[in-house]
Amino acid sequence: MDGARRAARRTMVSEVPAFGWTVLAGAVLALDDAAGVSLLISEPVFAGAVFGLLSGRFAAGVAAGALLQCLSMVTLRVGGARAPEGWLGAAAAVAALPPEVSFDGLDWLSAASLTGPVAAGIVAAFLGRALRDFQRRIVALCAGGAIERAAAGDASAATRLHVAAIGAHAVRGAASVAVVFAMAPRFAALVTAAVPDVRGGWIALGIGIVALGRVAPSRRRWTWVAGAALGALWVLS
Amino acid sequence: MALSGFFRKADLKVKRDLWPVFWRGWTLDASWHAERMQALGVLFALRPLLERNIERGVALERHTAPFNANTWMAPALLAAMARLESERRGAEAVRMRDIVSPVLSGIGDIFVWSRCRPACLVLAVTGVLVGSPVVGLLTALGVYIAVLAVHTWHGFAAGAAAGADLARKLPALQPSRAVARAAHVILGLATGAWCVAGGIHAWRVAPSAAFLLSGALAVGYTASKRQLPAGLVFLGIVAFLGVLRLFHSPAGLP
Repeated sequence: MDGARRAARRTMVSEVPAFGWTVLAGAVLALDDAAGVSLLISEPVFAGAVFGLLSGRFAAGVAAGALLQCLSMVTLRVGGARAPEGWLGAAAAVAALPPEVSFDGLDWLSAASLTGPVAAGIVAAFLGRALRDFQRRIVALCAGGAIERAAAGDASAATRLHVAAIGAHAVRGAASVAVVFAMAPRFAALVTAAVPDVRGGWIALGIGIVALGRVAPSRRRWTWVAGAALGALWVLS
Repeated sequence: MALSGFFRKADLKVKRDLWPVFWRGWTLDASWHAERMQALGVLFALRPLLERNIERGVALERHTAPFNANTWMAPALLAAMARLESERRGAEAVRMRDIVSPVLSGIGDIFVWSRCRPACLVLAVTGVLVGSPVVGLLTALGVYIAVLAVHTWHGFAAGAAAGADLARKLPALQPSRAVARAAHVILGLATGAWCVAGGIHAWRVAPSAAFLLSGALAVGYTASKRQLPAGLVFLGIVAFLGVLRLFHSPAGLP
């Protein structure tokens, strides 16, 4: 490896802002997402705020998280169904955000440079889900023996496996956020180069509205009309 | 009604030896796997009680069966099972678990995933869209955690009070109707407001932005009817526009 490439790689890693806090946030958010009762902080809009704050770009992080949130507004985690890891997507989007975007008013929705980071976020979220499913397959492999021992009167192996699974979620979260912070900017740059003028913010908002419409009550149409009036008032004022 | 009558009548003083079940039950999903789902989590939650049982082996074996419950509703079920186990009525705990678990989960899934959670997320995202992200995020987080804390703790207390009678108390274990109604109103208001405000603003910015928004609405609606993930729909639209870009039109692309 020549010196220039080595230096470039060092630069990529050192770009992870507040490294310790970032991986700690990754561990906590992964636990919130997968380990039990979620406190909502692993949703993209909150995760975007956390990583934005750690990057020193709170408004940008929240905006990227809000766009990703529009794409995962309603997730039915019923039975074995598990949603993509939105928090990891938010981390990727924040890592890939261009420095020049302004977040005043709603104009940032028109920023074409947000499309790449959001696309990177979506891919990272799906990869995160694949990694989480892989971890669960490993737990399934180990669970047979632990359950047999529990049935024989010794629950220590089952307890150890459960605690290990909690730890594994935290380690997975920390590791994946570090990888995502290093890799996402490259991917987003590729997307931005391929589609430099697509305003992804409006697409995400449109998809978010559809998701809301699917869960909003059809019996209470007056709320839709009242909301429309409020929205018109807000924009026109 | 903030909480059902049963919650108000329930003896909320949960026995101290049941408290660890509540905290341990918080991590029920950590070792979720396809074969037995939350069974390891249940063993972890109930272990302090089961180990005190004279017939420890039999007691542990009872709870190695597959278990899957909504994490908001599980505390009620775990509390009832823990109480029955502590009263040496383990067989009843298993019977009650098998009867109640699916029903309770069904109730919880609708409330959590299509009412409470989306409504709180809407509050957060609306805060971002109107330029007050801190207010939006804190309000959403505060409301969600308050509802979660009240619901899970009262469910736990009600489960501990009901024990084997949990199946008969199911209607009373339903989540608060007031909260569900409020969530419905928030979702409806946001749907209308986002649609109109987004449409007007997009049109003001550029007609092409309004075209993109309306296109996303149409494609998103069709895709959601086919249960396609929203993320993939976004990537599909972006890829489609990328392909279109290869065929430059004089009018340009949005």
